[in-house]
Amino acid sequence: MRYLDLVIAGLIGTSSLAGMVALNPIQGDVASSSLATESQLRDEILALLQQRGTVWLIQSSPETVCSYLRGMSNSSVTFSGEIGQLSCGAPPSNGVPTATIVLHFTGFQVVLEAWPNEQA
Amino acid sequence: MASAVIFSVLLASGLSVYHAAQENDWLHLTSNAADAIADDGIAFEGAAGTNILLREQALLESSLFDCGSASATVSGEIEGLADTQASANLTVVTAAGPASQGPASDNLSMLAPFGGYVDGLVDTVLHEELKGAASPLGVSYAKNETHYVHLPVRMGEMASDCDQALSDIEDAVSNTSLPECTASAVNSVIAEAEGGSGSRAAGSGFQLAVDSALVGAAPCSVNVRVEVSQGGVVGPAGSFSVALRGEEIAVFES
Repeated sequence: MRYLDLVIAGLIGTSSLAGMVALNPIQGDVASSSLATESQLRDEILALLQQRGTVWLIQSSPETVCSYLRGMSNSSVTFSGEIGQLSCGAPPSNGVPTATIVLHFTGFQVVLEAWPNEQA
Repeated sequence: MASAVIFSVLLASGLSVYHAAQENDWLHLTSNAADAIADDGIAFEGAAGTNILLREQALLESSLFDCGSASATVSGEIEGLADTQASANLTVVTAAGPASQGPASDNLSMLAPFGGYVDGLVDTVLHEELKGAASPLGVSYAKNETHYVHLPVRMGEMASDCDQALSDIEDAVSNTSLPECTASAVNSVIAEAEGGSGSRAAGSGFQLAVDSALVGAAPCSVNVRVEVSQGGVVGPAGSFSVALRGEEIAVFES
């Protein structure tokens, strides 16, 4: 009888602990944190856009825009994109949260991207 | 029995912590999704406004407008301009229209230096309809905004100078009696009238050109064409010119 009690208690304990592990709130935090990072990066792209303006984007050469994006990159964030046919640089490695804003202008498209640097 | 109670309490506590964390995550997710859509919306409005300005410039630099109807023609053309920017989560539909009044500064700073209403220039109001959704999160977004932009083209002033030049020439012609209805005699009268109009146009920063051709000898009549242009207009696609033309038949005093 005592042996049966121990088995039942063990089963209850094991299933409860398994349930608690399965319902780990940290898992949700990871997805939420990734979206929060993307949202913050998008804010930073918008700040750049507001600083220079959309008219500036079409008046400047693609090289100038790429150079500006590189210049605004810092230790915590990298700005990049595609201005018409010109790509400003290689995209980040897979899995890095990246914010992207795509703007369609008459005759060409501008893709603005930002991602966090690894050391940040 | 004791272990069942203890572990059940533990599991229940774990569940309540999990649900609270889920709710917290949900709030953050929806807030971030809404923030992302709002950011896209501002950027899309800037791109749409820029496209409308580009199309206006293309329209203005490719046409020779009639002096008497230039402003109405341009207003009509602006009325038909539209743009759509779209992503997976957001669509911004922009409809343009002529503006006869509005704020001098616009809160959409991305359209500088063409933002805001400036009296006497080609002004445009942008009606922007933003509709978005992040479906799995149940976030929906709807907003209507109005922005004002302008191109530094003094259409009304040009039309007025054009009309005045035509009127000056008509006055000069109708008050002159020519002994002979010849091209040289006609041209000399028109050149004199053109001088005053040309100075006035130049003072406004415009160029005036007058062209004439004899169309009848009895009575002596002439077809007069006046062209007023504004050069060096700085638009979103670079510098351009806008020209207006007026035409009339003027009859010399018999």
